[in-house]
Amino acid sequence: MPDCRQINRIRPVLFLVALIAGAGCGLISGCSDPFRKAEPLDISSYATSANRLRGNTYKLEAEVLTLLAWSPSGRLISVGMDDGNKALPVVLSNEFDSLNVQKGQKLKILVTVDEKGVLRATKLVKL
Amino acid sequence: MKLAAPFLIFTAVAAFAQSNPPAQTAAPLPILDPGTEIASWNGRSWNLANNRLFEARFEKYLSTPTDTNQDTTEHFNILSRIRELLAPSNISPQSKQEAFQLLDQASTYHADDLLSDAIGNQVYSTWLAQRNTAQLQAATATLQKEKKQLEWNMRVVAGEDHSSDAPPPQGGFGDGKPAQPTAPQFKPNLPSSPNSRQALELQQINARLAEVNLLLRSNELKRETSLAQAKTDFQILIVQLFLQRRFVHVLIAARFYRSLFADGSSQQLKLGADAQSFFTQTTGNPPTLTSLEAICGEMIGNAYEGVNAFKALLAEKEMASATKRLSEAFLIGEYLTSLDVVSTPEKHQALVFIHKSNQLTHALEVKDYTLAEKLVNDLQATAKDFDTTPANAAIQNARILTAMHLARARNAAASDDRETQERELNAATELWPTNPALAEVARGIYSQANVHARAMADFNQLVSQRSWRQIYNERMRFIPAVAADPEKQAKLQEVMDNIIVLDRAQARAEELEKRGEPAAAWEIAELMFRQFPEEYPRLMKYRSELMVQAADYVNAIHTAEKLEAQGDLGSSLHWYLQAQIQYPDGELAKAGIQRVNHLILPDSW
Repeated sequence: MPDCRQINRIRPVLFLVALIAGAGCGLISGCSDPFRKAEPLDISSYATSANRLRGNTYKLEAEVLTLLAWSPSGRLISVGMDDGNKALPVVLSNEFDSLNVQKGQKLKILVTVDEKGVLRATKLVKL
Repeated sequence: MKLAAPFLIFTAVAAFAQSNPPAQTAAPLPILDPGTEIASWNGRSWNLANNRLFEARFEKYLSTPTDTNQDTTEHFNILSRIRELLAPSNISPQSKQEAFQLLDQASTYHADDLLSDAIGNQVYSTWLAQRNTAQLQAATATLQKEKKQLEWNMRVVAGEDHSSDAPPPQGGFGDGKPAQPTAPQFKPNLPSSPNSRQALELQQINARLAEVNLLLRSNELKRETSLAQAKTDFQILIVQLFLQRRFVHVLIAARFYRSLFADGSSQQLKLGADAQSFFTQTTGNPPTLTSLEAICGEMIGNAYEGVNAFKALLAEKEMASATKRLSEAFLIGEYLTSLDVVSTPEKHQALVFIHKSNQLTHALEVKDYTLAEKLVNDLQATAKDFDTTPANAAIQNARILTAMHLARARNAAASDDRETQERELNAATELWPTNPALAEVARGIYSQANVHARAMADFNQLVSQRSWRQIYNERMRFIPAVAADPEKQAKLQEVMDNIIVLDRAQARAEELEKRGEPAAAWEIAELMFRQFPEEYPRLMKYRSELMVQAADYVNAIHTAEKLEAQGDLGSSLHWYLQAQIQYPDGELAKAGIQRVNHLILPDSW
């Protein structure tokens, strides 16, 4: 059975390790979610009525399904969530023209619900 | 030809004898063309074989039972006895008197029609005329005697001969010999002066002589006129009887005439100018009593022969000829006893034949060829010598022509050409109004028209009810009905095309359903329903059934469309995309996505 002095010396070390580990994890986490302040999109609410969510900003992590439409002003893509069981349309304005978007890519997107209830990407990060 | 002349005379006048005074009028006498049996008189023509008056009398004769009572025989015997008494070999004042008395007896029979009485009256009138002539002859003799006396007196007074007191010798009337002067019968009061007394006496004798001469002349004229009038009246009676076909009475009257007038047999009959000319032209000789008697005898013989021919032909079932011979015999001898030997059953056979012949004529006239055909068959069965050729030709001609018109009418009806149909039906009706085929065809056409009208009404009703499937099911009834209406024809075509498309789509949907693709099956049904928004019950039912099986897809599409309609494009597109996940080949989802894409990015492509 260990004596009391040995126990007292081990405890601060464990605490420090734990603190360092906790801080590291926090740093790492803060660095991988750039839109940590944004709320994730509630798909069921959106499906019921997107118009009610107009002006709100949400974040979503999804997989590119297909390019629905293209125009000089931007692109309309569909992204899949929930293992592809849910599909959402997202408009990528021409500021993202330099970004290649392909089927199967995973993206983190910050979206705003516009006046037509359409999700417009404001920020986008490839995962 | 033996019979030509007398038959011509008789037949020409017989038809008119009952209603027209013979020979004494100024109107021309009738002329008969024996070839055509057409008589012309007073500017008009009659067919003797088809003369209503004659037909009526002949039919009356045929429909009257044969007279078998004793009266007819007795009457015939009396007339025969009169003829016998007046025969040249038997004539005597007593036989003449007896014959005269029998005339009175004969006139009491109905069959005589008082003609014997008329002869008796004429005989009596002649006797009166002759008696009057005798009285006139006596008066003339007295006047002649006085005349001679006056002439003798005149000579005595004039001093030619005073010595003789003897009366003038008696002279016969009309002997031409001058009467001898006789002693004066009276001595008038003479003037004292011999010269003046003599002059006065001569003057008186002259005056009386002139008066006597005048009376003589007058008596002579009276006598001649009376006899001439009696003869003329008798001749008129004889001709009248001849024209009335009373040949036996003609013979009796002629014998009486001959017994009353010494010139009877040779003297020409004094008829009117027209009658005289007619007899002369037809017989070749002026009419005499003897020629009339000869004609009458021949007529009686002809009637007898005609009846015999009738009986012989009837036995051979040659009704047409038999009836013709009987009608000829009747025309001649309507009042002869030889006609009485025709029995009632024989008459009936002839009457039936005549009725049917007349009925056939009338049936052809009114174009009742059905009846005409039946009558032809009947007549052919009863009269083997009946000539059916003209009737059959008319019937066949009518049958062919009406069949042609009816065929055209049918074709016109089939093509809904009302104008031609009416025209052809009218033509067929005009040709054969009672044609059974006409009624049948007309009934068929109008029945067909009714079917069309009813079908058209049903079609309109079903269109208003949007019962397309029922219209399609009854299309065979509606196709001919709407053929004449392009608008309705187009509508029917549209309905049929739609139903065919729907049926094909449903068949495809059912196949997809069997393959486990209810969403695809539903979409086909839905698309059909959207293409033909009218209610198709069968499709509606099938669509509803599939809606349960493909609930997710159906829900996604319906929600997407609803949100699209509300302008909620984001949600709408989400649901379209959800629908596409359910059924990637879904047309509705694809179309919805494209629509909303363009709304979100108007300049997209």
